[in-house]
Amino acid sequence: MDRFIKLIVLTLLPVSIYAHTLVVNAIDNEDGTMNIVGEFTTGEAASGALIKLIAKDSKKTIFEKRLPDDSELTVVIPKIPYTIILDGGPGHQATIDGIAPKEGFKKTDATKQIPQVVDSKVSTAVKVSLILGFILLLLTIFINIYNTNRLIRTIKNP
Amino acid sequence: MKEKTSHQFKQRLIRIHAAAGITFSLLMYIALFFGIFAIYLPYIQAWEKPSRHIQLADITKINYENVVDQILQEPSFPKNNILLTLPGVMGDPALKVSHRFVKPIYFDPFSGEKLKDEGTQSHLASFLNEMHYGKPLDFSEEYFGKTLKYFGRLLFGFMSIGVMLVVISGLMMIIYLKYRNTGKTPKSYFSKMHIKIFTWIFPVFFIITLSGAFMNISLISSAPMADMLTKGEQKTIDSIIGPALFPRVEPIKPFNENVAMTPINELIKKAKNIAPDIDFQQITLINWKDKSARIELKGYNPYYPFLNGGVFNKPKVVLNGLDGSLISYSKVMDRSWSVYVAEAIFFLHFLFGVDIFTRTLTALLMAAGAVAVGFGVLLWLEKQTRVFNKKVEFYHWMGRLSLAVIIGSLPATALMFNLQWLLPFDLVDRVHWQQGLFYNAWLATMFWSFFRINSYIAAKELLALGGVLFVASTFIHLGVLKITPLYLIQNGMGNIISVDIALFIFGVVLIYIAKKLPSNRDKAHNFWKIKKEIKNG
Repeated sequence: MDRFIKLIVLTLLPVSIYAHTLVVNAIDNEDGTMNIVGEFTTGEAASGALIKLIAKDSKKTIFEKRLPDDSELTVVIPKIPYTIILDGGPGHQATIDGIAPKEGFKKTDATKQIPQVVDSKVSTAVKVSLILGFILLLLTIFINIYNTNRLIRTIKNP
Repeated sequence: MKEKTSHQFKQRLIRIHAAAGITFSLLMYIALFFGIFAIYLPYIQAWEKPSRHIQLADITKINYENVVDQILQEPSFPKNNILLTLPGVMGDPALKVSHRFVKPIYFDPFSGEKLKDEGTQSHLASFLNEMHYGKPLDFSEEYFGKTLKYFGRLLFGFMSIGVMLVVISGLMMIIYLKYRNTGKTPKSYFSKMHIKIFTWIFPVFFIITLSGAFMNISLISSAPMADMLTKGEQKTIDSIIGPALFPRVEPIKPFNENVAMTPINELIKKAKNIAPDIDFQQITLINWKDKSARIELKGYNPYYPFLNGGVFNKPKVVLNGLDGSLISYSKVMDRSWSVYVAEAIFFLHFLFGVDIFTRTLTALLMAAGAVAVGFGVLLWLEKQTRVFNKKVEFYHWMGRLSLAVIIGSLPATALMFNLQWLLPFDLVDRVHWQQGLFYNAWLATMFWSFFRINSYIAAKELLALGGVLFVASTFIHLGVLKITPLYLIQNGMGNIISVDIALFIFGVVLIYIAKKLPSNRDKAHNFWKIKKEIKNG
């Protein structure tokens, strides 16, 4: 039964599916540096893909470099909390949390955090189209009810 | 007793076929209708972009060095494994320079100048293709999470499976039930046409539907299979099949010694001498300008259709970049059977590298399928009609919805073709406006289908509107660009003028059908009967 439930859950939650999904890994070299490896789930190297280290607080790019032919980069571990992004172009990104240095991350002042601007991503075109679409749908429902009633009246009173 | 069982079996067969058929019919129609445009995707892609109104170049006469030098000077572009997609691949006359992790740059193959690519501001052919496999119904991952990210594609995938059930039950009906096809009512005419068309096209139709189900279901939800096969070690199928389909290529270490390369034109000619059957499509430059430089030329061998040229198997010639000596030659039949199975499934659906005649034949088969689905829906609707006061007042929601989906898709799609040239290319959110207006035009046809009590008139009006808009799109295209059909022919842009001609003819056919179709139920009865008499006579 458990297996059956697992099967259903797995079917309904297609985790990462298409061939050529990017994965990124970081290995601590225990000397203040780390090796960042980028590859596809097929085992194919991701040489040429962009590695970015982004500060968690400020969202600033701390480090940026393309993966060389062996698909592996050695990078000094940043002192502040950060995220490692393997950028393979739009829709092809893999992200992991950065490894902490031996002494741990430096505490950052929460008050210095840059406030995130909440930007509405819905464009005017989408808004207008949605409004127009709902109006047309409501009109269709209305005309459907109106015509149905009209026909029922015609049938009842020929 | 046996007779009773047989009767029950036949009855259930009919019910299963009708229930599954009407459930999946409209989605299937959408997949078929937009699939016809997807078949011509390479041609529409060139038609929709002003930057692609250029002649198709001879790949052995292009100054590639000029282009490669420009690319090597781009600071953000990776310097190794540069991909050159040759003019003519997927109908694109531009020389595309890319790397799998950066945005491609397009060049005019004649002048070597960068093209002002329309980029994301032009999405007509791709959108029509996406409509074919249900992508527009996918939910945004950002707002709805991963579960609904593939909703549209899964919906269309399950629809394909449903359609296979309909096809199999339909075949069983033809075998077990003896259709005489002699009735003289519209119902019998619809039944006859539905059966006849599908009897002719079902093998191709079934294979394409099967490969479509594979695309949308197997690729997306292969997680359980991967999980079971690896006893929980892997959650994705690509990590299991990937190594077989995409063998890992070890990187070649550069000597870090700059040397002069043999011109790429010459290398293409050498590769052509080694493999004369291959139509080269893509070039990879490895360690270019280094002593270890190699050039990989991949392509399609038309003598082995279904087995190469798609995603997994491309015959490849690898030459030394310095002197052009042959390093390796991978032929079509050098791979394993599992690669051929995967390649064949993809080929069946994507028609990689096939010519215009094969594409047109496939499109005609799909169009016949769409018409047959239409007749199936008409048959179902005809069976729902009820007579009140000796008069049929048929106002069924499914009839109206079918009218909007089947006929309404025509003016809505035609409007997209017009908007492609009416909306300025620098308009903010151009694609959203275009697609938004398309959806709303389609919804407007639904409103019109419910508004008109007489659905025959509504069908005629929508067909005529679609026809006029398709015809207009050709004139708008030529008018906006201020060119004539003669200019396109004289400048070797036959691929673009052929789209104009196809749209014009399609529009005229729709107007003709609109004119000929009956305008009410009584005339419809005579209309189908007249057709029958002509055929018998």
